[in-house]
Amino acid sequence: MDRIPDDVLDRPIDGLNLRGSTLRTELSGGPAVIAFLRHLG
Amino acid sequence: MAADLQAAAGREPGYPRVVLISLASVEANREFFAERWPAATVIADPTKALFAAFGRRRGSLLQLFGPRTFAAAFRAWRKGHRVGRARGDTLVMPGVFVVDGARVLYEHPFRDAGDHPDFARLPELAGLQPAGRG
Repeated sequence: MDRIPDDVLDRPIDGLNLRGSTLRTELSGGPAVIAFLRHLG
Repeated sequence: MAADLQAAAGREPGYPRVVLISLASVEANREFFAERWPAATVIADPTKALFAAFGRRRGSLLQLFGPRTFAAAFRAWRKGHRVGRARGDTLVMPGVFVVDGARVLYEHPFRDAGDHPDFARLPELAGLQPAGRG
């Protein structure tokens, strides 16, 4: 994947300590590390 | 993995913002991170929609239960990480990406579930800082 598709960026999100309500908002403002956790604990 | 990222980000002031994506519900994430990492940015993805969008699928038997995965679990255990009641899907493969807005700068090629990247080197691997720093 070279680029995150627009429909993924604009999908509504929910969670903790978020900047906004979409992934696009969350990833604005500079580089970010995205980590997909397969489980907690 | 979250603890390793927290440690890497804590050591390097210029470390990119960390966004965790979890298969657990918002409430389960809140409960889990409350004491471990209260400031963590966590997106709850219980439907796996974001996991699927980023190509995270269930791993093969070897990727999930092979010797390298058990070796990684042992290393984590030695670092003090203990496995509690798993909330999520232990059969799905993890993922680590470095992005700048919509652009994907780096994707760690997980060979198996325990094949974590060197989290301290992620900015370098993504071309955000010169090799050998950090």
